[in-house]
Amino acid sequence: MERASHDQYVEFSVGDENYAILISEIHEIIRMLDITVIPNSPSYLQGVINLRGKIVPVISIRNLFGMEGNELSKSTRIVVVNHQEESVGIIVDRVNKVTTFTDIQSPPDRIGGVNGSYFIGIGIIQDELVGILKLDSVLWEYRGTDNAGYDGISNSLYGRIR
Amino acid sequence: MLDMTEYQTLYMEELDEQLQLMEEEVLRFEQDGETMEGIQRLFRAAHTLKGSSAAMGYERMKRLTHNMEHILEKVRNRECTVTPDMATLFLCCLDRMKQLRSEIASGHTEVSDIEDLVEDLKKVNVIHSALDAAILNTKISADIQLSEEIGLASIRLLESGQYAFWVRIQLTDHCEMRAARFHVLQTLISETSVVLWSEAASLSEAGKDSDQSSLRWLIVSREPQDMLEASILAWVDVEQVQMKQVNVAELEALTVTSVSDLSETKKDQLGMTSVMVNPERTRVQSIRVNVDRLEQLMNLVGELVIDQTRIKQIEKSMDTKFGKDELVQDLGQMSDHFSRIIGELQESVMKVRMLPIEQLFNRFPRLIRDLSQSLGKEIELILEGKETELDRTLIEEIGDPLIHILRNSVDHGIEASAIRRERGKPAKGRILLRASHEDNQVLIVVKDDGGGIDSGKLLQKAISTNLITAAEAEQFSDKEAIDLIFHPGLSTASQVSDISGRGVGMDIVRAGIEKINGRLDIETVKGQGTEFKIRLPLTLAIITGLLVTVNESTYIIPMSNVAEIVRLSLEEIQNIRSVPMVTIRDQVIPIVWLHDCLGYPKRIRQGMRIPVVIIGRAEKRYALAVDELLGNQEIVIKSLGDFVGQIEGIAGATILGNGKVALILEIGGLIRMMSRA
Repeated sequence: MERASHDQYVEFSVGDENYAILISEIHEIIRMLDITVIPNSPSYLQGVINLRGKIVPVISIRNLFGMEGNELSKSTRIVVVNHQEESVGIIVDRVNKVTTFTDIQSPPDRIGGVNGSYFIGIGIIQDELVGILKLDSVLWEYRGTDNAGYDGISNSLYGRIR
Repeated sequence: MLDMTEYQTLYMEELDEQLQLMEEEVLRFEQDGETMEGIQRLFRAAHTLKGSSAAMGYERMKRLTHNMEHILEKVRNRECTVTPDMATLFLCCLDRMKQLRSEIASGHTEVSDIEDLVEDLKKVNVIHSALDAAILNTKISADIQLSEEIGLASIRLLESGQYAFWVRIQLTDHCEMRAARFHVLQTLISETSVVLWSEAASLSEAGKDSDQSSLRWLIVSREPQDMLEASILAWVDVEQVQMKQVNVAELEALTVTSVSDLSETKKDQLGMTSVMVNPERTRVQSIRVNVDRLEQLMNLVGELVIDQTRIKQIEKSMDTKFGKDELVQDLGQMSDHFSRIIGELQESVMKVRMLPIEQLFNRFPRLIRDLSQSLGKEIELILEGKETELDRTLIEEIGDPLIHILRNSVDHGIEASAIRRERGKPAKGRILLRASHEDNQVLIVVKDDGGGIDSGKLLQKAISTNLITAAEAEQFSDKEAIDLIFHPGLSTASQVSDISGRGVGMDIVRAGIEKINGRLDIETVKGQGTEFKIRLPLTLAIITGLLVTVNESTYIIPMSNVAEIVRLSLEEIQNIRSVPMVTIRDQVIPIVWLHDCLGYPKRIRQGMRIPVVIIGRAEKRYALAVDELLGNQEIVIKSLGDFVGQIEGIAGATILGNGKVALILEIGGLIRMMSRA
């Protein structure tokens, strides 16, 4: 599949690798905030932040892709995306630029140990290769993980109060 | 084609309202007998619905209400009385109308057939149109009062050999302008007789229309009954005449004898009318508001509450930093004022969201009636505290658990009449449903005077289903045994009925109540009855929480779960069968470190006093050890969202004064985790 596109993407780095998200899927990009850890929750879920009075869950691409380390630096950012009418924050090491790709190629089955279905494709700009994230799969992967063996009848009440 | 959607919504709202009203009225006259006002209200409701259904083009709804209205008119004109059968038939009609309503709501068309009911309604007409003249006076004498003057004068006339009669004249169906015709008739009657009382006059006094096909008079005449009857029948448009002679004693009974009596009865009447008028007035003074808007308002207030705590904190740190600076003092005053206003705003918005529990309670008389009829039991439902207000979401949430408890009371609680008589109780069982406010909580009580819960039976059942062993059962206290009712899969009814007894029940009821931060307690005395007590918070969105820290993170325990706060030294913790326990007020309670539940490392130093929060329900208490107690505070509950989903032991989150997110613990979930560990 070959697809040249005029769509704009936000390119960011996690470790040495560059990824991109379609700009229309991004709500905002913010600096690191205090994260409240949720006990008994899956490890990808870093916790929740207070985004101007809204509780927003934050996940780590690093953890999801099984990368080492989890250093926070001055350039660490949270990319807040919209996912099924909710906001979800994704922690990245650095946000590089807004870009377009001259060519987008379909992803291989696996990219460096990461499931290929996480990607819409590989964007090519000049000599650089950028994995374009397929948000639905990335976030769905988190949701698919076991929510700490939860089994009781519980607090659906609070689901109704936002 | 006109855009009907807006009218459609209005129509549906009206339909719901009128159906509810009609059901209440039917149940009321089934229980207390008919009253003229009740019939009048019922008639008006049917009439309104007939009109609006016709306007909306819902033919079946119109036809059904038309036939109901027809009967009601006859009742109103005292041409027939309400019988129990008729009440049942009316309830059937109402059910069918509800069905039509949901059909209209989902597909904008009427599907259900109504002809069977229309037939039945018509039959009622046939049976009762051959009416009994005796109802002529008995039904109305209560409404009539003759002044002392008129009464005495007429009695004198009777003593001088004249006759007094109740007269009822029925006009032919095709008679137009009935009011005018009656007026003419009255003039004709007055030529030969003295009219003591006329229905036409009393109707117009009361401001009601007199467009009825029959009217009554109380007259005194020189002429005997047969003569009068013949002459009235001869007049144009008169279909039928009924007369009943009235004797002196009856006339006296109708006459107000003394002045003091008059004022008493006047007062009574006035009292009655003011009661009747009030509901109308309050209805006019309210407006309909979309629920979403209210929710949004509440959310905004929630945001304000958070901001206010933040401002308070900023002010505090400014104060320590810049001391007596004038600007800081100004800020302090502003912030105090701000808090007060937000406090009031929050209260007002909460009040707007409150509804009288009446809305929910009014559904139950019908439920109890149907259940008790199908079980062949006699049960009286007493509703108290209908005006008690609580949050509308709570009213929605508490409906199902309450229905379940009531069903249980009807099915398992109240015994069959024969058994009740054997036990020396009145044959008619009583269920009391009462709502009230009790220290910032809402208390709902369901109390029956039935057989109570048999703890022995519960234990046997628990043993037979291998829930516990016989040896364990012996260790059970009565309270513990009764708590077994909350265990999934247990039901004491020996026979599974449609109504209850499938063994899914009380556990779900309790879960439903705890879900909305409520509590359910049971008190039961074998042979005397059972009392369910439900305690609910006034609102869901804002609660008082106890802030605690564990490993430097702040967590919130809803105050409704907190029984007590104590400080213990390590030495007070003893291991019983390797379970750490503490003794608080003679009760031995297992102690758990919140650190363990949440996966944090414990820091225990010798000699330190550990803050401990006692949580849980009466019998199942836990002591929860934490690092620090920060005090309590109003907090706004926020959801973690669907993305995070449900995390056991966490109910939601809130934003603290410092802008950080703190998690709210769900005590029910924690207890489940602890009892698994």
